[in-house]
Amino acid sequence: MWNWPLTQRRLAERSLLVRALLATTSALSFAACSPDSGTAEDRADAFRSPLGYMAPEPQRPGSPAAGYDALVNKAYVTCGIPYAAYKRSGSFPAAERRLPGRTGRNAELPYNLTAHVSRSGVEVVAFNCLTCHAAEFNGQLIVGLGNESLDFTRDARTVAEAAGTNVAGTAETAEWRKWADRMAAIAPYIKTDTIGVNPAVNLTWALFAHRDARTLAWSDKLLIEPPPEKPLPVSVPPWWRMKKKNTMFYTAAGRGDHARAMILASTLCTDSVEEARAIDAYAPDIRAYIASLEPPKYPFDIDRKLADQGRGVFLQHCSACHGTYGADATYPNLVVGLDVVGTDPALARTAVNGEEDRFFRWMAQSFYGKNSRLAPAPGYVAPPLDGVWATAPYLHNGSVPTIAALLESAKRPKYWVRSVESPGFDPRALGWKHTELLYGKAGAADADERKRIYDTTLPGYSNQGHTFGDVLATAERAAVLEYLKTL
Amino acid sequence: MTTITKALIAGLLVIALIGERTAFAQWNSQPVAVPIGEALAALLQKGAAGYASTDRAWRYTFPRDYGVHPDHRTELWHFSGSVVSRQGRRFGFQVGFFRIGVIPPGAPAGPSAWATRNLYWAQFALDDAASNRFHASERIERAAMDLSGASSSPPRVWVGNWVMEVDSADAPGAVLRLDAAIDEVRIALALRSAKPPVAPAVGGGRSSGSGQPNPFHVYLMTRLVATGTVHIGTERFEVEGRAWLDRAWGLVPLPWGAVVWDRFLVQLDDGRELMALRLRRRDGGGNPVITGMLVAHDGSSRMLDDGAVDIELLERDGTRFPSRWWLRVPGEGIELGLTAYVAERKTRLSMRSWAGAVDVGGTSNGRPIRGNGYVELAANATTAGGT
Repeated sequence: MWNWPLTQRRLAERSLLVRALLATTSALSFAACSPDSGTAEDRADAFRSPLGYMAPEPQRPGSPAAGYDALVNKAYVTCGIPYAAYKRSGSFPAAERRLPGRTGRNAELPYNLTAHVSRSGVEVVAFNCLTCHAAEFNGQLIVGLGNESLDFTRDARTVAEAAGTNVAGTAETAEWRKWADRMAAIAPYIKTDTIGVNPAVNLTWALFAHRDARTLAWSDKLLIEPPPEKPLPVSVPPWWRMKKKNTMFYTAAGRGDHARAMILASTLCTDSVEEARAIDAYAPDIRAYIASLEPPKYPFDIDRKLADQGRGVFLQHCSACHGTYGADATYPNLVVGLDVVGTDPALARTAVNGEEDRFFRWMAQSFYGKNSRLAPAPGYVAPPLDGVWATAPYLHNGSVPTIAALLESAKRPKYWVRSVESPGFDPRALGWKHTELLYGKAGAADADERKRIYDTTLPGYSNQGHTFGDVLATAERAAVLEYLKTL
Repeated sequence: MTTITKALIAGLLVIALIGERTAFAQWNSQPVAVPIGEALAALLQKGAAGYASTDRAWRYTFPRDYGVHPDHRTELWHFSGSVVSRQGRRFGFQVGFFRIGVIPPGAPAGPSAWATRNLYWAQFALDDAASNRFHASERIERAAMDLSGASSSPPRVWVGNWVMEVDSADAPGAVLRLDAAIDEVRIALALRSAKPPVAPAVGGGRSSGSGQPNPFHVYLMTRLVATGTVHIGTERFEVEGRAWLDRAWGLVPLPWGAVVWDRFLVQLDDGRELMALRLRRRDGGGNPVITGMLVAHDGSSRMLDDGAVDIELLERDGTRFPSRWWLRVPGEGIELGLTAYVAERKTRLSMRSWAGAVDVGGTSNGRPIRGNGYVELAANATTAGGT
């Protein structure tokens, strides 16, 4: 008979519950990786920012220590799966996957789940910010590193309904149903066609469309026109950039009070201004924690001499937009126009061509828009490059798997699949090990392969632009790569 | 195949157990001292302390994994299929065994001869198409006093005279023997698998970063070649046909939740199998979701995308019983009609569940195709689902 070895790699990857919760997660982190926050103005021009320098705006002070505690223990997302059902699924994390500082029930949960007792007395497990904003690098879990492994290709509705198979009891069922109904409502707008990319922007808009802007009350029926069903892909940026950035999000959309905009991450379940205000009360602490984060140190060897040479090249070719690093670090906070940066225009274009103004208006009318505003610019923020070696894939849509390819556009793969080998980090090219294919999604053998192929010919997925590295000599490029390891 | 599917698969298998158990009791008008399903649910909610976990990869090995895994809390053996006599008389059947750990392996079991570490719950149902009759029964016994039990060497599970065992006389592990009887009805089959088992975890994929362990291990034998006999009263039929085996151990999910599931198993004459799973809220709310799996001639399997499978109930027998469905997979060019051997179930109460063999006929990429199948609808399916 058969002696059938199962690698079970995939088995281990996602339990029913995790998948179920994933969709919620996107709801969580969309605030940080999607559009923005906005002010109270109701004129279209209030929903735009100019290109160029983005000036700082006042931020409410907070305690980083209190912020970490809130981040990993407080229930800013208040709907999810009853703990009894979660427990029945048998999903508990191995010890090494737990985070320090987790209290009570949370100490036994995976780092990306937080428990709380609902008003109806049911203990509920919900996704927290770290589902999208923590990831492993070189075997270490790094809080703040964007999780680029999430799979939004499945219908979130299937995932939520499947989770219901473990739910029993009237009160528990009511709690699960609240979550599952919302998942069903947003599911059409958050299904991506590529594993790893994040639908955060669309998720945010879908939630806005189901809520009354002034009361924040949930409506099963759409209150404003929802976003298109095909999400534009975004890569989840690292949190440690926030200490330098005056705006949130790729298109500079998050202006004003960052803490207020961040709590958009709770809009899957926050059903009243009163609830939003309670979360907002500690949001400045979480912002302070995020702004205190330092990038990880490069864990492998660095050729210091080569890196020094690279620093010179970097100063000459890169610093004008990305700043300088070291003792006298500077960061210019620039939004670069699409005509200059040349990267995939879809995200910025749809943000400024009026297609999303109804969402910016919703924001402005809501509690979330009292101190913050969504005001995108027709371009992309040139980000700080601290810890950039850890943050593959590159560009706002995650279309380029390595920095080497980013700096030499001719080497960017048109069709590629992330390697499943471990470790998946390529220290020579600085980024993901991957396989270049001769065919795109249309040529995939089956749906499983199709989901894994990053196809840069699709709308929103282009790897074009940012060709500034093409002018470098091969040796210069190698030197810059080495220098980036020191950041 | 993904873990979610794994959960669904094994869960779906079990639906027949609780759902039909209740129905059987009602149909047969047999007094039941305690609502067994609820009692078991309460028992199972005690948790799995003292039992082995399933968070490590499992290397499926046969015939070993036909046998019991006593370190795990619960375990399922579930056979379903269709056979036909030389005279053309068709029968559908299911035989299921469900083990429930009561006392963990390391804990003292007590001195009484009645003391037991496990309960075994078994069911047997037979559709007789020619007489339009449905026979069903169930048993629940403790694993003491030789009332029920299981072993791993040789692989065997039994409840009274209902038995599944590996035939030791044949090539090792090559033939399973299944035997069950209700009053004047008996089925005895030899089963040989025509394909390797289907198990989750085949295929690529990368970690979500959450590192969740798996609550149970599971595999399916989607095409067992069946030969044997069916007895109905004094009549004896030499039969042959196909069967399907679902196996799971660990924390096997039971259909007690807010969402239940229906399962459509199809074995096509061209060598492929199709499984469709439909999730439904027990309260009738929301919209059902359907997912599926296709198994190729060589045993390789792949998931069908969400939304790739469509199920439509065509008619009911009278007003209560489902009897015909369309099962469509447009992306694969598959369009099948499923017709129940026996739609009627003898119950005076509202239908609580439905499970039975179906004839399959339709087209695959425009060419005619036939097959057989087994449909399992969860409790309330005939009123809440079915479309």
